[in-house]
Amino acid sequence: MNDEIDSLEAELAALAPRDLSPQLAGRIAAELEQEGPAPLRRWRLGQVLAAIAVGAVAASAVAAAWLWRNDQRTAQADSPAAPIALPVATAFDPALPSVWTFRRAADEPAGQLDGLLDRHSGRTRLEQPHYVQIRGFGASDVERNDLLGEL
Amino acid sequence: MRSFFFVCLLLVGLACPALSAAQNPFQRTPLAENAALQYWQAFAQMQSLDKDQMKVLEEWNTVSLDDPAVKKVLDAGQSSLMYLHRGARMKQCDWGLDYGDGISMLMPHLAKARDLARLAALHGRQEFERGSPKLARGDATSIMVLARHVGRDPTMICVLVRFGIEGLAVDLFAPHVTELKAPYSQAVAMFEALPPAPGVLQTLVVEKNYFAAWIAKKLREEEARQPGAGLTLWKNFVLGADVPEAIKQLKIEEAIRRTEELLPVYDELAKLVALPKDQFDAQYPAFIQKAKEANPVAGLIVPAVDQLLAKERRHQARLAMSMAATAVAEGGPDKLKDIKDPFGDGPFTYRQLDKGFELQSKLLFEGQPVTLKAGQGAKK
Repeated sequence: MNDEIDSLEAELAALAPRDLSPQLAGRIAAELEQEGPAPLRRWRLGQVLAAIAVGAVAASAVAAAWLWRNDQRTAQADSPAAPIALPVATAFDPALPSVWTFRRAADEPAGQLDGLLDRHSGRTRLEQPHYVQIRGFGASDVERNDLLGEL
Repeated sequence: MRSFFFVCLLLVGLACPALSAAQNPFQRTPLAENAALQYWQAFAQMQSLDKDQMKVLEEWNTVSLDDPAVKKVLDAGQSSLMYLHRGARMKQCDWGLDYGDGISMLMPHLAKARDLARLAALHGRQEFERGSPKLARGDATSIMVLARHVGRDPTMICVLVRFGIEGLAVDLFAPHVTELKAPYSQAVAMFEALPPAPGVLQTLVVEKNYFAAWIAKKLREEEARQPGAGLTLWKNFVLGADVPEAIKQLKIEEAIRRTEELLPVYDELAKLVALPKDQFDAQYPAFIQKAKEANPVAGLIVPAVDQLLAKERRHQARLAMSMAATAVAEGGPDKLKDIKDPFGDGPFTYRQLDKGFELQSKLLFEGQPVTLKAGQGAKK
């Protein structure tokens, strides 16, 4: 048993690597020449990292845009189909702090503007509106009072 | 190449917070840096006042601080004052007014801001009385900033309310000017650091484009929408006993035409307002008389600019005198030699009082010289 092994060992020990063929050595040399010097290889590594970074930026932007669009869609879906412009009658309602009522008070003698500010602070009872209704379906008094908040 | 790589990394760094902000609704966005949001929280925290408490705010400058209602008002107003000071620290303020609403535009913040300023003035007065001038000075500063934030919108009313609120700060500050021991240069620097605010001149563009032009446009639109609706709208404009009958009886086409013809008047008015005071005073009466004769609607729509300018000048004089009072408190009446009355050729006139002193400007308001009493609240 041992003799057989010894002979195999001897045979294996006799094996030696073959020399590279000149063609193979030439091909390897050509490949190495094509890859260029070390800085050039680092530049390629940089390119790969930059591509990853740009990809990350793009992915972030896409994700942010997607989230933003979702928010917008939610807001749009929730908004009622109510008008968003103030009815013109608002200007003449003395119960509301409109530019027109303030302007009229400012043109009056001293004290009128302070009186109006007091009224809109809730200090004195608001006058009943006596303006002419401009539209048949203008904002109701309740809606207008809502605009006042806690005034 | 290396720099390109770092730029890419920087972009990733910038994108990540944006992404996390989009995902985290609890993170403050730049929109939160709006003082108006703080002020509205202050308004919301102001409780409904009973009659006695309303009187306390209205008479903040004279009411006895021993009045139990004063304590109630101040105790209830602590949160509001905190939000006021927060808002006053912010540089930006946008009340979100929509000028597209024209003369219908609502400005509910004006009355609230005036009351908040009164609350702060009452608190400041109490702090002065307690011997805490630094805390009182904080109140006065916040009142001034609130006034500038209210006055940032170039409308006549916002400008007038600004004058009123800044006037509160002067009324709070002047009696105690000797206690503050603030150098004049510091007072001037603080004043100049306040947010800018438009004056009467800057409001004329808004008056023209968003109010006068808006009225003409709205009359036209209403009449086009439904014949007769424009005239109904016009009747709302001319409500009131002081409006001449000839204007009330105008037909809609003429009302629109007359209103549109007023637009160039605003441009001429702006040139007039930009003139020095003596030239404006000399030219304005003839100008407005001519404008009203040529177009009676002018009396209804064009603002009484002479009255507004008179209020603006009185306010400017009082502000200048309040700073001059600081100089007197710092270095005596001789300091006035270096400070010019903006409405005269020389310094303010100084008069010693039993308690404190009085400064007087050459400016006349309603026939009387504009004056400021200072230092009368000082403790012995």
